[in-house]
Amino acid sequence: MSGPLNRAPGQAGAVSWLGALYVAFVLYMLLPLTMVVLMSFKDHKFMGFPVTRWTTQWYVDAIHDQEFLNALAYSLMIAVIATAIGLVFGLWSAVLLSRRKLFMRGVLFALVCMPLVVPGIVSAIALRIFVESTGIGTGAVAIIIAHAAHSVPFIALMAMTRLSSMPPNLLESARDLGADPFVAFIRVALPYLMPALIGGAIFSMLSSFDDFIRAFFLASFSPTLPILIFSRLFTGLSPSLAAISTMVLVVTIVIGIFAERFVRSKNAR
Amino acid sequence: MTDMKSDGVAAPATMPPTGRGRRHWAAALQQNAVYAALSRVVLAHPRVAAMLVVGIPVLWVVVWNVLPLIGMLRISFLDEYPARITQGPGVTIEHYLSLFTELAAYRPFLRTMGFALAVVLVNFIVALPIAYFLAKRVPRNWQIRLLILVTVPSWVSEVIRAFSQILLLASNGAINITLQWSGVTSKPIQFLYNWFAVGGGTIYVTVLFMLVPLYAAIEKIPNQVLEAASDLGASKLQRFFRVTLPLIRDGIATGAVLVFLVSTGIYTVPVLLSGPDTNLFAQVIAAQFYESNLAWPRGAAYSVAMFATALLIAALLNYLIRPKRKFRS
Repeated sequence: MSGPLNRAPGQAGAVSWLGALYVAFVLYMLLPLTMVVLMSFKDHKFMGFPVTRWTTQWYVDAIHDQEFLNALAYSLMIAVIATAIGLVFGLWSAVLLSRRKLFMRGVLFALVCMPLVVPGIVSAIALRIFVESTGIGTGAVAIIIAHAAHSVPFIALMAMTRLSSMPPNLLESARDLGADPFVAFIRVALPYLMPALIGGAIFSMLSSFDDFIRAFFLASFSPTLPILIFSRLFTGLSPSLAAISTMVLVVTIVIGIFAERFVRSKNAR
Repeated sequence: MTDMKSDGVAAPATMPPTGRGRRHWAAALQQNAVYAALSRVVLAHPRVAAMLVVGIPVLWVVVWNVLPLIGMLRISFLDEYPARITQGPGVTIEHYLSLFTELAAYRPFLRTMGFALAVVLVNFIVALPIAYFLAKRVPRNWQIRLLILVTVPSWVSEVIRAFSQILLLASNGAINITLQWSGVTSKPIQFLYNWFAVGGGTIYVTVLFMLVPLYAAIEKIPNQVLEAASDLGASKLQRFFRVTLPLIRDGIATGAVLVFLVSTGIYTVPVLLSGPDTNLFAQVIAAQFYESNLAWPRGAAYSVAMFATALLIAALLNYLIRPKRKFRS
């Protein structure tokens, strides 16, 4: 790569300072998280710089920390179930919304996308009041519902984008060959939609796994992982917290990069 | 298999076998007697089919997206919650009025709205050169990679991102230690628990909501347009203000609306990074839910008021920034 290909004339000098700004911005975005990683290797009871001695003991502690393991399992369970539910209803909404001449399509589209614009704290509180007044109560079910409701628009939008590029005669052919509408959908549309659904599912799981505000208002006694980290931030800053955060951070980023690459490679095809 | 050939279902009733030689489970499903009967009923009654296709997503959306908001709106007008069993609750607007009369409510409320507007502005100033660089100064095949590099932190939980800001800003944090080590200051500077921390933390969490729409908008400007402007003698500044900026108003509007809505409702960052004089309205709302059930109507009213105001201001921003439709190409 010899240099920028689409440079406008008379702008040769501008590359350097814009590039420098970009580098500064990358540092601004990534340095804070690097601090968390650094801190997790500090061989001292208290967090803070400078770090003089290093250790991996905090990681050993973390994998023996029952509270952490419980929160991790709880968060994973919620993420998986919420994503499964979100996939079913997100896909269902996408199929419905991809009909161009649907009655009140605009209204329905807005309703499906509503969770994207309602601030997290508002939807968390609305759901808290809702689960209390309907008798569902706080706990895993409430959190799963909140996360599924949040992931439906993401999955629906991704599936709709993919559906719009599907040749319409594919489903008709399947029908002509004797499949009923449901079976035709499962065997023809579903494989075609798979890249969008896998991408949507990964992002939905990540957003559920990372969610703090909804779980904070809807959890009963068991904390999810972000709630555990949050409460430990108040009970003294120990590097063990940095070790836990680093593990979460690394797994999140690896999965995120994988999903990003996956979705892009499939969409490019 | 012949029983499938009844009614309106066209023959043949079997799908061709899959390539691997095993029958697809959905093909087996179509052979199942119970499923076949159900399928016949649904296909014979278009109303039932429509109910399935339309009804289920509509039901989902109404139950989980609409009803909770209506419930919150209802409770915000009650004078007591849970309601008295004998007389039922009274209706009142005192919770909304308290937003105008109580210092502890209206001050954080106004502060939050002003804060969110400031965050929009700063994010715009920060994100614009970065977006321009990515869209116009980087080879196409590198644009997405470099964009993803800066979006990586956004996949990480907000709690961890706020925590990372503490490590940066604390009195023994990275910035203070660097400043002291390099001899700029002799004792730590208070960065945490003030506007610097809350503002910085909020921008850290929201800047990508501005960067991505700006990038998409700038990327869409044809290079020839920019070249034409330069050829016609526009200076860099003239070209920026008279060509680039008017062409990306759509992107600016989208970014401004997103950033404004997210930063009015932001909770994790102020809880962890703000001091007593910089608390934001989301914290006031949350406090109503930790006192007792009695404060829920007030918390609900505050949520409704915050969301409604945020939507109004976001709509206003959108109206002011986005070009009017008739002028759009």
